[in-house]
Amino acid sequence: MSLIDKIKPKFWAESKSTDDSHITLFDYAGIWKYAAIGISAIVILPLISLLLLYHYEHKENLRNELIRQVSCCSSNAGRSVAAFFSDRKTALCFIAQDNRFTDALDKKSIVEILDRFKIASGAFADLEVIDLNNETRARLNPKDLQGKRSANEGWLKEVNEKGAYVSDMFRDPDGDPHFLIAIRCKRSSGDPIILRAAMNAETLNILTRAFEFSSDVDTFLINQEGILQTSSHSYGNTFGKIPLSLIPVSRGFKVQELEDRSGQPLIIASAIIEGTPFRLMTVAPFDYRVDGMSYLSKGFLLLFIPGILGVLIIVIGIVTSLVSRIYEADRTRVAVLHNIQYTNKMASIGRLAAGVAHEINNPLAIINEKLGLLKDLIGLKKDVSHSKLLNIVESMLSSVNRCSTVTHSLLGFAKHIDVRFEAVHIGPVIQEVLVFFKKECEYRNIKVELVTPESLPSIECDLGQIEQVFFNIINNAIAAVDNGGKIEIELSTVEPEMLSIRIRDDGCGISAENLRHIFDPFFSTKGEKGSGLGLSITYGIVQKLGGNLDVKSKKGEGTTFIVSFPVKNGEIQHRGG
Amino acid sequence: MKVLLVDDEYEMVTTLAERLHLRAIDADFVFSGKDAVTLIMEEMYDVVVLDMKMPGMSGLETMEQIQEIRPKTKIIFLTGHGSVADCEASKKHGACSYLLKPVDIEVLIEKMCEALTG
Repeated sequence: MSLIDKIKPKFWAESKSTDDSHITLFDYAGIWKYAAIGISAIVILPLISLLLLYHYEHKENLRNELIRQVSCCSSNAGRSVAAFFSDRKTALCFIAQDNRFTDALDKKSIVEILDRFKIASGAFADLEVIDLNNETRARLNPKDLQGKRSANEGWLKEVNEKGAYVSDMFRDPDGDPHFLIAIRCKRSSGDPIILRAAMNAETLNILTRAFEFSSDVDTFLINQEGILQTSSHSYGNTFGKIPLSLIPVSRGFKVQELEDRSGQPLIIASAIIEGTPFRLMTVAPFDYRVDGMSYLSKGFLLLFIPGILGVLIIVIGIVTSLVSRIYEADRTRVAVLHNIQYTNKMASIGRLAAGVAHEINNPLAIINEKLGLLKDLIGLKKDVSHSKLLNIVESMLSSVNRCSTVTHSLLGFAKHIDVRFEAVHIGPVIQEVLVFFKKECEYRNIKVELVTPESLPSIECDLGQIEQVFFNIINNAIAAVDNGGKIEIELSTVEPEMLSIRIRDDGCGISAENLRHIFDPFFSTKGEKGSGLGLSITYGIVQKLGGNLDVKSKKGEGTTFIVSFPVKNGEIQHRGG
Repeated sequence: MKVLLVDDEYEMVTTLAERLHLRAIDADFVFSGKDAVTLIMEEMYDVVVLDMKMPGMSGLETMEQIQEIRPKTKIIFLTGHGSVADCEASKKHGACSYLLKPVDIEVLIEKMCEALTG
């Protein structure tokens, strides 16, 4: 025997048993499964709901924390970048205020000033003095770092209007990204002059990245068209286009949440750098799927998973115990039912024996008297007429016939002791049962009417058991009616596959209170005369044969028993019929 | 001895009456308890032989009515439906004997004599 067989509850195999000697009312394995799943769900679902709620709350907290960090980073970085540009503009203003520079406009002075300036603030690649006609008056770098940009007069208009200008990034002839800062100032002579400086973008790159608070956070600059102005970890080098749908921001900074092309949730903060075409972007991936589960510490999992397993084991243990008790109770019930069925059978046999004795003793008495008379006549040597002798013999033969009718009916009963499913015609079965009540009905002047339609199908069931059903019900009906009463037995097919037998008597009827208990074992209204088992057994047999037994009654108006059996019975195949 | 036989079995009761006649016993017969009660009111009988189960009035009911009319009349039950309960009930109500069909006529006569002398 395997371990599984040892721990498997007894009822598990029983549910699948088709042993006729132990018909059970329940599918124990089914009850066990439903109860175990149901109770486990009731116990575990709240725990899992709490876990999910906790997970959701934690995710929200993580999200809010990340938004706060990104906002903070973006705000700080934005202010720093703005301060960077402000410093550079201030530096240019400082140069412009140097009269040597603005007045002399000689290259030597410019180089001298720029060298000092590089040392002081760095990043300056070129410095150019331009008059209001966009003519270069002096220049440090012979190469035109700005290329075609120098010919673009859009910047000139802006610098004249606003006093300062910062350009988008552009490539110098070496391919390095640069941008321009221009300011408008006045020479000592009072003539306006423009100072335009080209600056290397690397300083901005370093500055923006300094605010990345973790390795997966990306901080970079873009222009109004979404073109990268500094390099990005995620979206490539300067001049690349970022693949994000950004919301427009006019001033200050805004936070938005969106997903990139791979479905990765992102938290993005955009800060406008005032006085420049730049927008500072801080992009942080929000991977709660990793971070969200990381809070499930080992301690928590060690508590939660064994807890769930423990609950499941307890639930399964309780359900198994309960179903086992139901199973044991059902077994006891079946055993008791078996006993009372046997008791009832014995009581039926007793009633049958008494009826048979009466039915046979009467004709035997006639034969006895007739033979006695013959003996008397012969003994007294009287002359006996031929016709008298013939009458005596006829009477004896008639009595013998009466006896044989009864014994044949008895044989009909006896041959159905073994349980066997077969095609049974109900009409003849009821007529056969009625033979046993014939004399009593005659004595008490009870009229029994049997209505059998011509085309009535046979049903598949056990003949002996169905005879017992009708014997019990008709016996009850005869007991219920007064002398001169009436019993109607009507056969019909109410449904195509169901044969219905209505047995109606005009007897005393059953009260509503008694009607509720009529099929209970040992419930009897006959006092000592009844065992209280007849209808209980009958109900059990009808159910066993796949039929239904219903009763309708009103006190003083008679009782109707309705027995219905399926025309086709699956049992017949099961029993190899 | 004057005997009344009460039984719904026509052949049995008529034949038994004929056999008693052959033994010089005056025996009348009727086929129901009701007829027996009617006859008892008119005639005196020493012994009444009653069947237990009869159409209409049962043997016990008939005995009760006979005893009311003729308390001294002896009752013997002769029935095919023998049961301990019926036997006890009949004895309780004052029946002299309880015999089962078929019965030997000599036994019946002996019981009738016993009833009269006892």
